[in-house]
Amino acid sequence: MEIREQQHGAVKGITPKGPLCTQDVPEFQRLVQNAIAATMGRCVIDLSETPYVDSQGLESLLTLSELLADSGRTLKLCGLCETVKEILDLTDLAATFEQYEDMNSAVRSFL
Amino acid sequence: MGRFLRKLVPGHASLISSALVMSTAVLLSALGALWWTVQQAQVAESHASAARTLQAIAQTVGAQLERGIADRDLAGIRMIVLEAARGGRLSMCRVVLGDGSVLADSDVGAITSKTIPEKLPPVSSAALGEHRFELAIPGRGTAILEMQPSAESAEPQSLQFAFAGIAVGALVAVGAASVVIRRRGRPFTLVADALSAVASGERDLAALELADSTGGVGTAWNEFLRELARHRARERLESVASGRVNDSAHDDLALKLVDSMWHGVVFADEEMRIRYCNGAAAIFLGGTRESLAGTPIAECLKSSETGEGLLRLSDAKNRGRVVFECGVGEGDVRTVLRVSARSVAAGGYAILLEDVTQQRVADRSKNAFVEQATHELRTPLTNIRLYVEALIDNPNSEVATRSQHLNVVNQEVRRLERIVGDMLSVSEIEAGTLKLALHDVRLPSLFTDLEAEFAGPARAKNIALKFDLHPKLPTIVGDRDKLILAITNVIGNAIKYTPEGGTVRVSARPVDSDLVVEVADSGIGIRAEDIERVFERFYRAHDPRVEKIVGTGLGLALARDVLRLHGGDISVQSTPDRGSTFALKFPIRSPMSRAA
Amino acid sequence: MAKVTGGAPMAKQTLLIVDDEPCVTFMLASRFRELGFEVHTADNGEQAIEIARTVELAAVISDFQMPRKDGLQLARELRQLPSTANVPVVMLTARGHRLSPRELQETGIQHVMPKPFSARELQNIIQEVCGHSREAA
Repeated sequence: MEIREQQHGAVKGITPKGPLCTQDVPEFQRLVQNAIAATMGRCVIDLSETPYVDSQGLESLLTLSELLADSGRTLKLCGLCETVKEILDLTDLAATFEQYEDMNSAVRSFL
Repeated sequence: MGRFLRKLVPGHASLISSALVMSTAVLLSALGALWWTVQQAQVAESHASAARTLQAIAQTVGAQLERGIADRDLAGIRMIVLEAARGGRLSMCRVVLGDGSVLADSDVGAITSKTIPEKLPPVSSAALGEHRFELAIPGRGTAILEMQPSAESAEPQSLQFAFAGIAVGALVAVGAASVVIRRRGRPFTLVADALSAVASGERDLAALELADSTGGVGTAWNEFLRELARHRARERLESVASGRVNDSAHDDLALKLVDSMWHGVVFADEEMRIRYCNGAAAIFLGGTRESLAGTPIAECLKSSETGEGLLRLSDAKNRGRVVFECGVGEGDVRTVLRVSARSVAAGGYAILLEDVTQQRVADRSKNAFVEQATHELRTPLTNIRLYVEALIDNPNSEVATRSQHLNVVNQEVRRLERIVGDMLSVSEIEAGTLKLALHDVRLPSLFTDLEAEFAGPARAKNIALKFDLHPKLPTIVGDRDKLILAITNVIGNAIKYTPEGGTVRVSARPVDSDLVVEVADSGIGIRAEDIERVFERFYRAHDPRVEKIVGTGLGLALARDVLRLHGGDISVQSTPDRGSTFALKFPIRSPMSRAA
Repeated sequence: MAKVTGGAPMAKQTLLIVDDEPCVTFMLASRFRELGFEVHTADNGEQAIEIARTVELAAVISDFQMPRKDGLQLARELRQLPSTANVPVVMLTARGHRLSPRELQETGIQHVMPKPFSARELQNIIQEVCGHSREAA
């Protein structure tokens, strides 16, 4: 799965292109962890091109969130489609992440 | 604490009054019971003494009566019975035979028998009792001596009822009072329980709060609990700050709070060595909580500003706050921290670390933009001033000249309007509140304006600016000002990044249902590693050729935002040193027919 | 009108006006021509230097921000040319530039006028500056 990285000022945006499922998870997680370390937590995961997240994908998002929680931060997600929002609601994980409409508003939250 | 006690007193007072009532009731009932007992005892006593009296009389009189019956002296025994009744204060005294006939009676009218029979009828032993004594006459049989003491010492029934009533009433009063006292005293019981819980080390003060139903006492207690919690939190923070707390005491409520903050919090001792830091601070300072403990701060925040800042901090005897910024970390974007620090009363320093990197980026861009904008505003203002002054100073100049001057003023005013509008758009886009004002846009006139706008700047750099427009450009629905902003940014860039003598070609033509505007230049081009990023907000390539040209890093990001709002997009193809071609695409929405 | 201090008959003084805004150069040029000056215009620093080499100038009015050699650079170069070393320079600036006294001395810039400015004020300054230079010359 292609994962695009873009810099927005001091904030790194990570856009996985496609559904976030088991086989892509290790790569995704590694990439995000590196990004978090490099930017001291100034990252946003753009899910506007991710129509679906499976349980492994959710697991990895949770793990990343826990990694950030140690330093008082939450994982920021943006551009979630209805399906993914529902998945988060059903698994009661919606409140674990910060959700934003789009990348711009997510980036503004770092001001 | 005082408020709590004050609340307590009225409750206390009602409790006391209830207690008084109860004790009075108990006392009264006790007295009543006592009196009743005494009365009963007296009654019993008088009964007993009466019985003894009767025994004595029976002995003396009995013998005389037996002789009298033996002598058949009826008058004699009658006399004796009368004497006995009078002397012994008996209400009744008589001699009765086994068959029930009354030989002698103190009540003369009750006598039934006129003679003493020779043989006396037998007397059953059951007939004998307390007041009935056996008279034995040898050879003749037995008779009964019956006596009744005086009824004066017998208590009237009504008093007995009164005592019974008092006793019952007292019991009821005790019962009612105890219920009332228990209810009134319940809050105090709960408070006492809670106090003992706190004393035995209960940490969760919120769990000890009382319900609303406990009234004023409960509310006062809850308030007291909250004050206590706040006091404890303050104490804990102070003790942490002064280094009195063990580093591993992580289950403290206050520490948990500080630990989960997204700003870095550091407590340092008087030699500016780290005593405690939270998770976020550990990240900023490039270590772990454990590895950083005991490290001098200056080692973690290596920069000249730090040195100077820390010096000011140690000088700040007035406990004022010292603020400075310093960069940390390596990598793509160095993190800029705002460090606020002050000394703490208990000794040592409290330090807050805030990540302001993104703020600085936004500030730089904003400043560049404002600088650019002010410059842009001053230019048309200069022209307006010059031409208006000329008109004023030369009242008699020719009509043609005046006309030309006024045209210039008009044109410059329009230019001002556009610049101000663009500035508003930029700030709206930045704030995320940009909305499109949709109207009919005549494309040919739009491009004519653009041509006029850029003619001068292009000529100044000797750049050939060509407009290659499709003959039949439709009228579309869109936001004219924002579209001009977007295309202007792209053309402006083309001219900016194209050296002397180059060319910039602007073309516009419909492709399927979209309008495609291309801006092709023969400029310095964009390197492969930057091409993905040119549309990013604030991005400016780290290319020396680019860096010396003034720019905000916002132009292309804005163009893209505007086009996307219109349902379109922007893309670029480029060859370094040869040139770039930007393609702006947006769907053609034809104006709906408007009702006349 | 230029002041006559006696001696040789009055020769027309020449001004050089440099600005990348055509409206500005046009207007200033016509104004100073009306006042009896000879005026040359340029829309960038390089063109300005060319003109400066060939013509004797009484003063130079220049914008700060221009493509192909900005006003500051122009002023420095004028200092270095023997024919223009003493020519007073008046700088127009839209960016609110403030020069330090040392910079002013180095570059020979006599005045810095922020934009927008009053043409009358500029006129007075030029006349003052040209009058002095005439006396000095």
